Amino acid sequence: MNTITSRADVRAAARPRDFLQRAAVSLFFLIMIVVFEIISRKYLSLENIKSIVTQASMLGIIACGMTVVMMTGGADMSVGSVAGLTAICGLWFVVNDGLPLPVGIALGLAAGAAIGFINGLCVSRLGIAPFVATLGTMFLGQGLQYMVSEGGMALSYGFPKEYLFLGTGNVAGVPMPIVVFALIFAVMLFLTESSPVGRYLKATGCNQFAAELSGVKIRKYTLISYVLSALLAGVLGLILGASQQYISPTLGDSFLMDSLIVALLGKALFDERISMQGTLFGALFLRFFENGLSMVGMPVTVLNILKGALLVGILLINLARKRRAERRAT
Amino acid sequence: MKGASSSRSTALAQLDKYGSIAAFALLIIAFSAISEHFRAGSNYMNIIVQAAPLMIIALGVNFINMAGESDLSLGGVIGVCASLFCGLIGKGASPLAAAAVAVAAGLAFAAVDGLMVAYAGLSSFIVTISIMFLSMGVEMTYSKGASLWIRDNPILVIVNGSILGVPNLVVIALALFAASYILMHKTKLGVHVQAVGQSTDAARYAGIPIKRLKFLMFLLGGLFYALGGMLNSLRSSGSIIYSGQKLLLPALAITFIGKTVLGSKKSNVPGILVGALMMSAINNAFTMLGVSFYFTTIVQGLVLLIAAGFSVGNRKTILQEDLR
Repeated sequence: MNTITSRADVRAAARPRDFLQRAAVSLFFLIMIVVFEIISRKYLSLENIKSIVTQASMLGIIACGMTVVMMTGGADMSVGSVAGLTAICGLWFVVNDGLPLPVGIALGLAAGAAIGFINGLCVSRLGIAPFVATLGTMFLGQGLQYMVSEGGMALSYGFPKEYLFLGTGNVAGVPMPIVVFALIFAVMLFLTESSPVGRYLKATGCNQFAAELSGVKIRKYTLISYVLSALLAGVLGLILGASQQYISPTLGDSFLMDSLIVALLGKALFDERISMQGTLFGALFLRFFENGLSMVGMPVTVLNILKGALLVGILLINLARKRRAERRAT
Repeated sequence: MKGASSSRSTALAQLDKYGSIAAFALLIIAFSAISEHFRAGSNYMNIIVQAAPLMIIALGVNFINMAGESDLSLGGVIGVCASLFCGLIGKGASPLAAAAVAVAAGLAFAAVDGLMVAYAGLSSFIVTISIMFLSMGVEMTYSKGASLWIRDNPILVIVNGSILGVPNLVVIALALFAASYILMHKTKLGVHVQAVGQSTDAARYAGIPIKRLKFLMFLLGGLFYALGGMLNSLRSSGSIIYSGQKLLLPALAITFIGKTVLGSKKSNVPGILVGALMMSAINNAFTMLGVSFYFTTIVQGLVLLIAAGFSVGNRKTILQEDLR
């Protein structure tokens, strides 16, 4: 739960050392970038930065959804599989049966949203633990992907030009994924930080009983968060498919781990609370980190192990900070 | 009016209590009616044999669930144990030594989980999912993505053989089941673990060593993952990359079916037996009916959702994931 559990936490959050902490994190980020640049020499080229930011934007889109769900105290394990399902449902019939692209995209997003709706119902109405419900739909989504793609056949050609523009096009020199992410991020930031909806979502996550007694429709907002998460995962799936010009049933799988890392990284660095800003920073950090490591010649398998270790490391840092805050309070 | 509503509620209570067993019986009858391959006499034994490794793994998860935590790490850890076991045998190690290494690996991952969850107090969901991805990376690094086959090894004959007509796999699984049942339901330790799972606070006031018990349950879980992983790989004469991923869904589904058995809505050992047979019967029936492999995934996902839905005791509270 992303709660502020005691007065000590409130005081700790307001401390000037919080600023120091953020400065330290930024410094660490800078040092990391400088080290990678010194080793590889191509790391900070405009081309590479553009590619990193594009990758980070794609991750950001799906992680925004995970962030909303985490705000309500949930977690969404189905994001990766929903991304793949949306892309396959959206494009399979367009490429193979000549369905108009907008209809296809609507179909894909509807399929994704349906999974999100099941997640939301299971968690908010049936009282199933979020990770269990979303794990069930994750496998459900995987099975459906294989079903639609007739046993796992990939789409690799015959995409409409308008679709490929989503992933490979530019608007005034800015790659489309970045444009889409900027729009989504702006909306989500407004929604969660400056609108009543955001307060209701966070209230549900902080203390559902108090929120319900205060008249917040906690079940409705929990449901909304899962549908939103599934829709954003679907958008990512569509963009990812367009940028790779290749869609297969494992398309979005790696994004589950990544979006969990990103949301929790953001939480660790921004006042111990889940936030869109934190997620943005997390997405940039993770992609700069990954890209740097692969530039230095780290094999992908080792990279995956490092990512798992990174997540555990974040948790331990969080824990150490919490312990310190507790000790200060006593 | 009152009588009607109370008879309705007793009917619901009966459904809660015997619903999953009735569903199991109905499934068996329905599958037997539809498919002649399913109802062939030897196939029932097949189902039981196929259930054996699944049940051992689900028993492992169940230990951890009974202590009130969840575990996803099996999705990767099983794969590491199985590929280490098969890889070492392939390189000429004796099966016993290979098994020792595999068990050690399972225990090592479990110890990391246990330390972080029980002693550091981190969220079991986040810790174990990171260990899952981490161990999948380890498996990929070790096996380089190749399938590791075991050929012509006496261990294959031993494990896939039978005593007095009962397959050895079933004997092993039943022995482990009996041991788990006695440990968790008939000893002081087991009752203490259940107390921890029910209410950590109450257990603390009762003076039960919560951290130590949770850690122990993670270790037992790791041991059972290793055993289940090895037996599963021996049944198919080898380890295919990410074999743990394929077992994660059925194993979790089994633990939730287990919770619904006899309406206890709590993790318990006997329920695992019913759950394992049910999952195995479903898998077997779908193979026998010759439907495509992805229907099995879809149905297993649905079974997980339905079983999880029936195992909820309190629908008023929205469960939240702990993200410490």
